[in-house]
Amino acid sequence: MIIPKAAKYIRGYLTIRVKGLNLEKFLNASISHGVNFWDVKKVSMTEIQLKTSIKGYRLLKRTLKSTGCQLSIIDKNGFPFFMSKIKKRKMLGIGFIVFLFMIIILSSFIWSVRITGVKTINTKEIEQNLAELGVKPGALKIDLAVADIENNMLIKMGRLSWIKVRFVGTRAEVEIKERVAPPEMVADDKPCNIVAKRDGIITKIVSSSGDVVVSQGDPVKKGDILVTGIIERENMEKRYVHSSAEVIARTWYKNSVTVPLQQAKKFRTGNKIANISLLIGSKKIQIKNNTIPYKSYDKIEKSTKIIDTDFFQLPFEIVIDEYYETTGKYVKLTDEEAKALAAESAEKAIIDSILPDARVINKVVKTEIKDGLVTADVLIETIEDIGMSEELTVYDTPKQENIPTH
Amino acid sequence: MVKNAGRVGQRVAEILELPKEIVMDVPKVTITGNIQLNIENHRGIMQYEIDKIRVSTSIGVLTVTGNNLVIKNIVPEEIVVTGEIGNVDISV
Repeated sequence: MIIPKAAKYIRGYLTIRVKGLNLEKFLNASISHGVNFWDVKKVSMTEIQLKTSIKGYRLLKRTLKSTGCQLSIIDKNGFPFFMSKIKKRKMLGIGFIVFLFMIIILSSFIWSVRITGVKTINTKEIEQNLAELGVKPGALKIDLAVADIENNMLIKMGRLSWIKVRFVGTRAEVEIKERVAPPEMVADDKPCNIVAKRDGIITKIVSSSGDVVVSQGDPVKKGDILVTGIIERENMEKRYVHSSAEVIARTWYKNSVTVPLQQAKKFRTGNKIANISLLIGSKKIQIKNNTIPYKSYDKIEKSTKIIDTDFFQLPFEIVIDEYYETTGKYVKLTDEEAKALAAESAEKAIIDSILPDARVINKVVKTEIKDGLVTADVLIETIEDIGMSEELTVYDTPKQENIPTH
Repeated sequence: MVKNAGRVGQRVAEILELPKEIVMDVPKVTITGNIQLNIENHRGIMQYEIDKIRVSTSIGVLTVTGNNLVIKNIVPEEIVVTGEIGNVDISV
């Protein structure tokens, strides 16, 4: 019947000292009365210190008289004493409970939506669609069925190929992957040729279906037939197949960009005015509002959320609008700067349009300065698959063989 | 008669392998290292000093000597003593 310490603490216990001559008699008498006490220590020849429950304390007081001992309280511990302290400060206790409730309630809402993975789609469009489905600041988390929202978003926005919605604290995290338009394919059961989609020189051609009509090293032009779907053999009727081949060739891309040497540039004069406002949910409250005297300016909006951690967000934002006065100035680029700028933008345009599986093997940049203009011509050579399926038009109706490619 | 009853009790306990302290009302002392001592089935404390505890039992007085002896727990049937236990004298 040795009660664990935690239970003792919850029920509350007192540390008392008993002074007297018949201490052993006192202990035996208390035990026979059924008092539960523990941690009995002898502090002096006539005094012992012990801990007992509140009930035990009351019983002990009765045995004091019969054994001629005195009692003094040293310490009070435990939940019942804590409660009596709280009773004297009711509002503190009530305030604490209200605080707990507020935290629980406020974290059941979504206060911000974050979308990641966007490359070309308009983020606002995604936000609007999400809002229509209920995912917006101020929404109740339990009202939102994630699976339904994900499915509905995929149906609504054809440009999404994958979406994942989950709630992290009070933030809705939305990850998307955009649909990359697949190259136009001819259906598997239709006969087709493989033609060149760009000019190039064949470096390797392997076909799994159809007859190859070019060989390694041949130069081809855009549109040339590389693998034909019309199969003609001796002693057999013409067959039409769905050609399939890998045609690797060396091809090139050209681009030319012109940049003027003198450019009009905006400069900040250094004058600045800042307006501060508070954004609560969707309401904007102006705190400091000045009219802007500048004729031309840059406006930079900086908003910081108060309390924006990974677990907990509140829809309070401080928005600081900074207005920087600007003037137009003509800046003259040096020849080197202009050449670099033109070459860079020409290159970038090409690289952006090349397919990811093309391998760049050479890059030639030519720059020329004439009449205050810099022209950069960029030529990029790549090795890539230039095969493209093109449907065969069948004029007569001979036997058509439907060969699936897999 | 009492002696005979005691003898018979002992024999019965031995043959049936029952716990002796229950059949014969004798105290059971359990010592853990030299830091804790349990006395089950006692009849009250006779003397308690910081270096000596004397407990009354059905077979006589049990004396425990040591240092810093603290009665960790005491209930009608069991005493738990902790501290530096030096000597336990159960000779009656």
